[in-house]
Amino acid sequence: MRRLWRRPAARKAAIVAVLLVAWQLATLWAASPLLFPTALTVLEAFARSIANGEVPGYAAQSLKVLLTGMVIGAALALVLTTLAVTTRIGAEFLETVTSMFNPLPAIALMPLSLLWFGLGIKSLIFVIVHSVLWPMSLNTYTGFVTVPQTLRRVGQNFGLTGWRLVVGILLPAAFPYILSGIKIGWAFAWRTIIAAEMVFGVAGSQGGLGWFIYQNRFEMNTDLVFAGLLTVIIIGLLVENLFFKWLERRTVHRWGMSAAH
Amino acid sequence: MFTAVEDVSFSVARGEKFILLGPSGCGKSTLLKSVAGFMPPTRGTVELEGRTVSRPGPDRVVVFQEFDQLLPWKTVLGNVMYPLRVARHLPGDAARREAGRFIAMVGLDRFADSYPHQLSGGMKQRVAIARSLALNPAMLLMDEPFASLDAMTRRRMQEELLGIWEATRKTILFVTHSIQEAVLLGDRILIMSRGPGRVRRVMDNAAAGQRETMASLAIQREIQGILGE
Repeated sequence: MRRLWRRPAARKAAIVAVLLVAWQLATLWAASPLLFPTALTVLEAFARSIANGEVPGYAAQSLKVLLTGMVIGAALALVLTTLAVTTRIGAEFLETVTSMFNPLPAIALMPLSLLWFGLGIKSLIFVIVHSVLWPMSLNTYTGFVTVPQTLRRVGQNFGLTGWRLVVGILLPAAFPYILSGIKIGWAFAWRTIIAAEMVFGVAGSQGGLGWFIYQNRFEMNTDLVFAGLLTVIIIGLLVENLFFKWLERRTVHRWGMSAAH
Repeated sequence: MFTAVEDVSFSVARGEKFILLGPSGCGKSTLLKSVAGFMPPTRGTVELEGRTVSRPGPDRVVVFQEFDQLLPWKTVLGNVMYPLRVARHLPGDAARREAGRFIAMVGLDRFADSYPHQLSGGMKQRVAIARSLALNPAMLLMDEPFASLDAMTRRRMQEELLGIWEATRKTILFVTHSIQEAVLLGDRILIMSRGPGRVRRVMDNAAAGQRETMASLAIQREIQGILGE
């Protein structure tokens, strides 16, 4: 028992369990079940919406849009940063546009996006691209400029120039920074897609976890609203703790490259 | 503009070990970088086998002093194979065989699958030497490759380099600030002084390959005298 307690994962699981019990007790005594359902009701609703395929379907829909946006954003970031490290005007362009657009919340572009692309997947993808492009470009660029000069020269010594130098030397050498850019991009994209889908919910379209949450609020299915939030949390945790941890073990840890902040 | 080196002219013969020797700041590394093509000279030219050198290329491979010259994301084998693929355009099998041969030459066969961060400084420099030799360059450019190593490792690496040179007869241009290293390794030694860098003398070294013999100590003293002037 004491050995188990020494593992951080075990302690964290215990914290979650305590929170759930506190929630259960607090809602049993104090709250209206319509506004704040008990932990058990929520878990039950969660299990039900998983079993009937509703939540997995919506989650898959959200993730598909999100991944499309991230891939497009990453490709654009690669083009921008390649121009930035190979030409001076490219560097100045990147610095100017990132400082302009990085502080702009993606959701603030939603009205414009709806005007330009209409109600549909394209509008969502547009705001996702905006939310991931700038942080990913910024990180990748920082990674590129911090590549040691020796490594750059080694690549030139092998006759590599232009994009061959970028792909062969700069990209892998900057990978710790790129990876942290992808992590930040994921976190931004995940928040943005949920928020953006709620705007769609208002507009009467459908699909996605955000829409699921919003729709159930309309129908006063508070337990399903909580189930939707729970899904958002769980997917976030899984991607962070399984996928990114796995990717780090396979790359930066194996290569002994200190991870960037 | 700052002039690091002025009025320097020398030629290196095929199969020769040629040393650029001088105190730090005398411009010897700048000279080597010009030969490598990283810093084209503002005046004058660098020629290799009759052609003017204007940019870096795999016919003049540099072994740097810094340990981070290896690609951290590739294993020892991958590091030696990579330039064979991109610069010599060898197919995978041939590159693997060729890389294996040179990794064996520097005695690292058992570490072929290790990553650079798992190696000691001396081992990293051996990999860099193997990687350079595998490219079969016309010339090996060595920029104080042993300067960051501890004294014992450094001694061993110097012996190994002599052995490798015996086996391959590569033309080597070697930069160092150590008189002892210059006299041990060089067939000829170009002695430079500081501010801006100028050639004091190009010296034939009769004691090449000897460590602390009478002849070697005499030449070391002679060089000290020239640098002290």
